Amino acid sequence: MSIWALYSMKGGVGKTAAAVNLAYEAVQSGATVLLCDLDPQGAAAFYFRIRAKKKFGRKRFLKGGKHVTQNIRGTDFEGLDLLPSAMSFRNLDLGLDDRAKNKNHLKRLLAPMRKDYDHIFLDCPPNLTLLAEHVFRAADYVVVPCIPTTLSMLTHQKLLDFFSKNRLKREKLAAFFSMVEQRKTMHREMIAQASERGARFLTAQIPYTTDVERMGWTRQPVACVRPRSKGAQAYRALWAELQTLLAE
Amino acid sequence: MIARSKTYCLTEAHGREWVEQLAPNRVVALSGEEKTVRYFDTFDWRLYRKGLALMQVGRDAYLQRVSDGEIRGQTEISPEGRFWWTLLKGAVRDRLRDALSVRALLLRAKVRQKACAFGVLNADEKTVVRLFLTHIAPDGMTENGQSLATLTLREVRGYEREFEALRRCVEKLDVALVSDGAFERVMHVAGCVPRDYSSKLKLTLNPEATGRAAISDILKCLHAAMRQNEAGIRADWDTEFLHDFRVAIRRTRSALSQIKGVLPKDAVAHFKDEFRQLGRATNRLRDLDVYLLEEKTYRAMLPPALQPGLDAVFSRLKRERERALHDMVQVLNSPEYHALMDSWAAFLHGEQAGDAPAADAPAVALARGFIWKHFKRVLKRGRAIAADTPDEALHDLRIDCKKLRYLLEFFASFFPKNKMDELIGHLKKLQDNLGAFNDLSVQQWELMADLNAALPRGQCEDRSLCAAAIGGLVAQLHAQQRVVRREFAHAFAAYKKKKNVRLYRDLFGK
Repeated sequence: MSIWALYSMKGGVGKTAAAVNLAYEAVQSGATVLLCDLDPQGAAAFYFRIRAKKKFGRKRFLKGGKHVTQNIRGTDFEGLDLLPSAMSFRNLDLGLDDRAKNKNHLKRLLAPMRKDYDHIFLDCPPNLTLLAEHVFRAADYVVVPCIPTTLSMLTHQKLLDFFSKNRLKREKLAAFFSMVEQRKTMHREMIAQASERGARFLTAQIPYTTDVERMGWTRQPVACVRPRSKGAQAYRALWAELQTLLAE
Repeated sequence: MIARSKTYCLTEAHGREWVEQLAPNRVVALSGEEKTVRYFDTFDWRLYRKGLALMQVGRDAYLQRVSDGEIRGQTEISPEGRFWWTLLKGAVRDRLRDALSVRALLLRAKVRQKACAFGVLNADEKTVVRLFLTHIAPDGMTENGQSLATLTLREVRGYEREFEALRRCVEKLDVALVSDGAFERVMHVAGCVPRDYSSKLKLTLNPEATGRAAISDILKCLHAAMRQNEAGIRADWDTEFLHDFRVAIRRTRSALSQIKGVLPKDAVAHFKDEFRQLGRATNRLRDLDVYLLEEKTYRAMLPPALQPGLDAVFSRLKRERERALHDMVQVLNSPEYHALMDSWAAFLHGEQAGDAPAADAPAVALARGFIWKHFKRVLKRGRAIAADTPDEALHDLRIDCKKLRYLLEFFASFFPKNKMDELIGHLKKLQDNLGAFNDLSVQQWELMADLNAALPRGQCEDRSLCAAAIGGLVAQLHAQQRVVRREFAHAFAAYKKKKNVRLYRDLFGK
């Protein structure tokens, strides 16, 4: 089983869209998948029309075991389950801080789920807090969407530095360009520069398309509504490329 | 993490509209498909006995776990070959190699399956319960099939309450829960009874039965076994049909000669002779089958340089097998064979005229006497065998063991199962040793006898290579046979242990 964290320090870069669509692609290839929504916004649950049970919140989540498994809910797609988030997840950091000196609590929390699923996707909130550190340790791969803009690239550099400083494995990082608009000179140049500087970015890119934006309306993965659209194809290619990391 | 599900039997009247009425305005059709599904297994249901099913849809075949329908792997079944070694290389083939051994996969059932999937939605238009309306109909393989419609409710994880509510709603209606599993349902639809054949003798005798009633039941069962295997021999599906056919003949002959004084003497003499002749007619084909099954082992015994020497031997054996099969089928089609089977059935089912001294004696007492007598004979003959005793003594002991084994199996239902299993287990170990010894000596003898016939009439070089290969093989077989012979002492020592003897005395001794 492998754990994929969809992470970015910046908000609005297409994390949740990537998490939802990649999870869907994984299920299409016959795998069983759990999507874990760690973001208190609850956008992943929204896309799947799932509401968390009323009593579920940060405390139960951190207790782990059956407190977590009881709150997993099946999506409309067989093999794809979702652990919804709750508003109280905004304080997940506090709970983690109380709990353990080492930063492996999230990893331990996910361990019992390993036998039930082939892949676990973590949809993370956009900040570099204690929770993020737990995520970095729990995940086998940290998948980072980057919009090809100057600021985004700076932020990504900071993340790389953070990994080095905290002795986290930089090989875990798999960045890809998200919301790419080929007609913008700026986007094209940023992408060209990134490869010149030798930064490791995946080949697959997610374009800025209305298909992805419309997910808010359709509340379904892109490939489910329009399987041949650009967006759907892009996520399929991204998932295929991520799979090759496993083989390495 | 298997989702809970409930399946109910429906009638033809329960269609799509009926399903949609279960939760008005909240049921949406998700998908529908119609397909022909074929199920494969061996004649003796080896896959089913291991909890597996092999089903084929279109070109793809899936290995499925019977208990929960989980797909364990995928393969393809070609129409030409249906043995494990003709399947695509992979995990399924490896799994089936152990399960199937030398038996062929046969088409056991064929059904048309129409399935519609529905989702029950909540206010957010989220699927909270899944419904499957399935209609399965037999696809003309047999006449005793019967179509079946079912509704399955499947829980979506995290929506237990919605599942329960719908379940209660369905159960208020006039539908019944199905009692058996999905695989068994399909078999029932196809008019097929899993495990309707086993090469093991499984019969339960009436403990109050008289000697004559008991032997009649045993022989009827063996008669049925012969008849069941005829089709497979004719079609040459695999080698085990003939093997089982021969075992049934041997058991029949053994019953006729071991269970004395129960059937009229002249009838016994007549049928014993008939079945001996029938058995003899099967010998050649079986010998050739054994050779050909061992081809790989034989080749592996020789150094690579000598292996091509066996090509001529095996191609001749294959040609000869074709002739032997043709002869065997002729026997099965002959009026003499049909007359024998019919008169035998008439004899077993009719009022058996003619007196016999022990006909009305209780079968249990007779069984005890026969088994005890034979056990003592096996012990006596076995004890007499020393390291320098001629090989013939082992052959005789092998025959005695076989007779004892058949008696134990005939009457097993009279005695406690665990004890009989133990006894048969011990005897089997001894038989394995004796059987291996016998096979090795027969093979050597046959190869030597074949030496002239097997040599190709060609180049001098070919002839000498072939002769060298046969020579090498005989030497190997001889060395193996010596090892087996040395092991006999251990095998017999284990068999004559006090504990085993006491077990026999307690069950069968006077």
